[in-house]
Amino acid sequence: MGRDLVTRIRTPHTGIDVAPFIGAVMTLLIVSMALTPAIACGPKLPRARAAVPMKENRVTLGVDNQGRFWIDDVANPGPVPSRHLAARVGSALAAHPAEERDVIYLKADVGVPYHVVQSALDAVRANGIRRVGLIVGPADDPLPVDL
Amino acid sequence: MAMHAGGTRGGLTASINMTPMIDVLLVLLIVFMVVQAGLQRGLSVHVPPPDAGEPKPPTSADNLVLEVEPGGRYLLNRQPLDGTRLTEELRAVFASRPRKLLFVKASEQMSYGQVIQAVDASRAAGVEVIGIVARH
Repeated sequence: MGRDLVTRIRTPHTGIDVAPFIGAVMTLLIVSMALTPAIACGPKLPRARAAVPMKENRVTLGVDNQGRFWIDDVANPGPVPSRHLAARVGSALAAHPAEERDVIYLKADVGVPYHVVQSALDAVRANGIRRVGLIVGPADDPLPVDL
Repeated sequence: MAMHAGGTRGGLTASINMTPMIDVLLVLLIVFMVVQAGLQRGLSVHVPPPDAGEPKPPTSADNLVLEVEPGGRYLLNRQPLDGTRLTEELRAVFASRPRKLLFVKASEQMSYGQVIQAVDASRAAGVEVIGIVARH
């Protein structure tokens, strides 16, 4: 490294060996590509062939397989008691600008009993929302989007 | 990718410049982390306002109500439909109707997945507006 004064042989400067760094970055990349769909699952969504892409940034009401309700409310994480559901949906709506209050998304587990979903829909209707987007997972044979 | 000192001639062999490759990899990493969040698909339905004047949609002959029954049975305005050919039968019914509007009704003990199947089959059959009938 540097000039060896004794033998006066000039050796080149070696920079940082970046090969391990690239190995680490590529591992991170591949791990994130593989794991992110598995982690960000939430409820087990039903499959539908005729689903269309949904706009982003809408209030999302989640129902897990135990029938608990979740709202995409970062300030209050955790399940919502059903008696507070309409109020919490209302406060989540108020946190969005007016153009994002046209529709509420429902992400419910495929095995949830329908009466639980109806409770969720009642909370949505109580806030004056008339359109609901039922979020689904991909089907094996999806239909073309322009239905 | 260390630099190698030259061999017998004492010169240097330049190695590949790694900086752009690291940039590309980091950009890819960040893009994948961000893109996973979006891109969800769903079925759009209409829900009635709360405490609608009539608990059921007006039962005029004009409105079609698809009832989802346990055991994979479906009734369209009380007429049974073949559950295995639901999409085709709905498509045939709606082919002659200008207003592609369907109401979907299910009893409380049905599972959400069964209701989604009915909504999905209706959407695949060309129904444009699907209304969920509220419980009463």
